Amino acid sequence: MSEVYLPLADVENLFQKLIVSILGWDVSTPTQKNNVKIDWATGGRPGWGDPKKNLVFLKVIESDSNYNKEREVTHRYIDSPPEYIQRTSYTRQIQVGITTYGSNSFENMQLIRDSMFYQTFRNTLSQNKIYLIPDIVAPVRAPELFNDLWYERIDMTLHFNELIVREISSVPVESVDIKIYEGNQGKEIEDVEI
Amino acid sequence: MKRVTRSPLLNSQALTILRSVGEEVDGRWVEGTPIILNIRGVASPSTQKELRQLPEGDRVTGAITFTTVDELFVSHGGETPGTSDIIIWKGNKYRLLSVFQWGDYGFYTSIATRMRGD
Repeated sequence: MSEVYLPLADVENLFQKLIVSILGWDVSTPTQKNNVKIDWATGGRPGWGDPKKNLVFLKVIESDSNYNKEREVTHRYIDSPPEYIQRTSYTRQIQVGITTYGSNSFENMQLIRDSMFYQTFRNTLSQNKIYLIPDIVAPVRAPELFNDLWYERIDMTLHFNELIVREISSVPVESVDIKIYEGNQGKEIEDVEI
Repeated sequence: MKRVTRSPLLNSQALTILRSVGEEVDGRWVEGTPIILNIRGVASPSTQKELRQLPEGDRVTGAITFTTVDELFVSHGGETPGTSDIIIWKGNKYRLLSVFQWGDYGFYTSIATRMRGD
């Protein structure tokens, strides 16, 4: 097995597409594909002014757990061409913060929560070595008052275990040439190759 | 007021405006090539240029007030969404934080913050 590692942007993209798919916004309402948004745009992004507009925001960070501290290291030597490989595998725990806004925010969050247990969506994640930790804390309804209007908002945090495999390889030392001299800069006594 | 904001004799300066044009692509905001506008206006400090000595390195902050005849925009949605206008002044970029809508009286006052941190 080669390396298994998703950079942060790839993890974000994976969950963006997954939630678009769960909500059916890629098939039934393709114009809403971009209404699942990834947080923390460097230069900001235009907001929205309709409290009823259904939007989803994603925050992906790593979270700490005892499980992600265990590391398994194996070593492998290949004869031809000679190569030494150190393989480290461990579990990274990902925390995905999901926020839904809009008139269907509560229902959309419920759908996301339920769908995480459906095999179709689990398969999408497992193909990327990402697995849901099923101990899901219930979503929190927390409407926001903005410009004198209440915006419906639901927050939920999901945790996932992700397999990480990193490999480093190096060319091994196959032979060493040893020369033995008499005294300091004296004549060569022995030339051995090990 | 219009004459003041445009008159070089009254400290009006050339300002370059970068007006954001962008779109959401797969849930990420992607900036396109900005619209470039050359206008005139009066620049005055709204905060001091300030050093913040952080463990990771020095950071410099500061905000400038720009008074212009042309309307400037903070982030906006709608059919042509974009993030806040960026003003290039004395070689530095300043991003709009707020616009006072004095348009009915012929001018706009905008506060912009320095974008570079060094």
